[in-house]
Amino acid sequence: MTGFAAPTASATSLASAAPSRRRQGKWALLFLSPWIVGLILLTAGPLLASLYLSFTKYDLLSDPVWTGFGNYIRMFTADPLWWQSVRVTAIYVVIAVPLQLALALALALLLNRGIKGLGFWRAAFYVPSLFGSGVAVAILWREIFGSSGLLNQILDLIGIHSTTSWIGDPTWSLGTLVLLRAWEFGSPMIIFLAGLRQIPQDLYESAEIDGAGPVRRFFSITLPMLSPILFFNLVLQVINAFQVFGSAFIIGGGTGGAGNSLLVYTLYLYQSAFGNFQMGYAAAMAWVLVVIIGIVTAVNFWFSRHWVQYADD
Amino acid sequence: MNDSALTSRRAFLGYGLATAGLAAFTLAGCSSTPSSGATPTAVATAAGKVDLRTSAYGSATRQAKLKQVYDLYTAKFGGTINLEILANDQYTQKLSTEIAGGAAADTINLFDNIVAQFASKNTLVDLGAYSSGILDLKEIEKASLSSGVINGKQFAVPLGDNAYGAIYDEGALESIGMKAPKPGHTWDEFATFANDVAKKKGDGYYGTIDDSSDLNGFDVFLRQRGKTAFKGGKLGFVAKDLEDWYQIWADLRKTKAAPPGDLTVQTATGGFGNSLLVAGKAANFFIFPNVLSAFQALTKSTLSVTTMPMPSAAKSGLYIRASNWVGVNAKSAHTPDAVNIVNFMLNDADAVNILQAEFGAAPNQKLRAGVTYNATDQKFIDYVNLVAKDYAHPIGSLADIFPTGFQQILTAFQTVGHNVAIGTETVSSGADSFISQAGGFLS
Repeated sequence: MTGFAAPTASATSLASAAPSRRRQGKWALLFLSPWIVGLILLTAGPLLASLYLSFTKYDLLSDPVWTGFGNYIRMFTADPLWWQSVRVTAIYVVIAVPLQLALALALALLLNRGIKGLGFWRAAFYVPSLFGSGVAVAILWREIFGSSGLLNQILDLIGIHSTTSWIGDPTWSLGTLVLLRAWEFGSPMIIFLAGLRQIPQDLYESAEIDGAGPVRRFFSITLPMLSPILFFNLVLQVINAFQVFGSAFIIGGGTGGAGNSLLVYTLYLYQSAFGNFQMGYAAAMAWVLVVIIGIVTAVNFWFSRHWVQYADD
Repeated sequence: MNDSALTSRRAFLGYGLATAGLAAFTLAGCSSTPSSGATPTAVATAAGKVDLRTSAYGSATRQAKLKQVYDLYTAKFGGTINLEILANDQYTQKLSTEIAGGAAADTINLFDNIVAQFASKNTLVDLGAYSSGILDLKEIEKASLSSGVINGKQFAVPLGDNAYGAIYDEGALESIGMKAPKPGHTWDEFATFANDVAKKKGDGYYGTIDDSSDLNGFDVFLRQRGKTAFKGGKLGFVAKDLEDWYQIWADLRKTKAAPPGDLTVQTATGGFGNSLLVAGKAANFFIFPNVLSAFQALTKSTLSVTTMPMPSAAKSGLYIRASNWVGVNAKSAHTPDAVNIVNFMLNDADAVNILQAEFGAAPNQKLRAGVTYNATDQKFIDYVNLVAKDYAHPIGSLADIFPTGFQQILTAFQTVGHNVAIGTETVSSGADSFISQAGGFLS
């Protein structure tokens, strides 16, 4: 990242001061240039354009018309579907992320007990995450939770006759989405596992000598020592969860599912943009989501002071 | 403890912020440059030997037929045609993005409900300008053609005449000694039929699907009352009409003649293959039945087509209109050749023979009579002819039938219909809720 510090224009005039360092800077810039050009053209440019569009009425097919804060005002005051999408997403994030992290942590603890063939098990448990957000798995989910799906067949085997379509019933449909997120526990699990390996064994040994049981050891050593990792996973997964799209799109058929119970934020954004041709409104929604994620992340960081313990504190 | 990158506070905070920032980038980086409509240049002849792209939606059956037609075209005129085909429910989104990005195909197949929207934004060529040259419209059914005229211009031409109807599973009905209802059957006869089927077939089989969240079906129901879904850009009906419609299906659900709400929701997406008809769990499916062969390809059971229930033949609510259309991209670099493909699809005897009833009954009247249809498509053609003869009423321009805001209304109609079917809204609260939502989308 040091290449950024050297402005190209002044690079030659300062050549005598520290030639080798500056030459390095130039080379760095040269090698970074594909990335910088990409950043400006493919990321920063569209980003700014979308900010502009968020203040316009733009239907994709004709020129955007400036409407000031119209889109933002409509979102907060006159669009029940937007509020529904916020509600669905909030419930999803609040339930799915802790569930996913708990599962990831539990499995990491299990795998950290010096079992044989750790490499194999680690990979085996990671596999679902590789498929997790894929379309195929979402379709598989439809089959499992359908009216005559796997779940109902299993229930039938244990004597419970059910023809409920878990994805078609608004009471349960979001639950299937939450389970799908929890199922993608692999990457936080790997990170937990790495964190667990960093906890010095002598802490446990001395605790054991002092007569601390496994529960006490978990809450007094493992959890505090792991808290930065837990926090890292939490921040990352919350941000990810806010952006859930693919699974809701497939399971809910792209329309928000039963009673809009699967109308997650990005799905409504997509619907507004490409279904209803309201690009300006969708751009405004995207920016509001950025702000929401920013606020939630900031709150997360603020709150972390109270429970995260860093090694260098 | 090791001083790892993740466990020192400063490094960690920096990483977290970078991640949050990245998320913001990926989220908000969605836009494109605005486009302006181009005007067609009326060159009289197709150059041939050019590379063209066509975009279409639909089943694998349709894909195979279109490929055959285009192979025939390139054999005759040279060049290549690249067919880009998508499932129905993803087509509009991709198309609008491509048009906005200036990367849409040369010829564009269009659902009836998006023609007006694209036409009004000058994204399509006025095909009328070519009708004295490349594009021969002499034999094309005039009534169908005229509903594609928007703001005085022929922005799209019909690919096939169609009439709303119901596909029935004759095979399943035969197993209980029954037959599909005859064309022109009444709503009472329909209810009796559906209940009989459900009783005879037993638990888990339904005499009819629940059509309450299908706007096409509701529009036919309204036409039976001398109304329409939309009139002059506003709703053409009142809450009572929608309540009556919901009540029909609520009664059928109550007696288990129609499936419960959650099952209807589950099967509302995922293509024809996910329908209760194909799954062998319901006796019918309401749709524009040019897709009869696509359905037939998915089941071993024999299928047939009949009308929707109606009060009387005079109040059938039915009409003849193309449901599939084709237009030419205003930004096409090869407009005359693109128009030439359209002409080929409409007027080439071999092409019409290959397409059979894929998009509906061939709009070229002369060629339609000469096509030898397979047994399944023949049933559809017979149905369209029957509707044309006994039931059809005139219909207006696509722009009147599908006003601005239609897509949102379509989604809302499905959602509210599902809510009523599941029971989260009542018949009357659902009707009120839809009307207030639709009012907002239309204004």
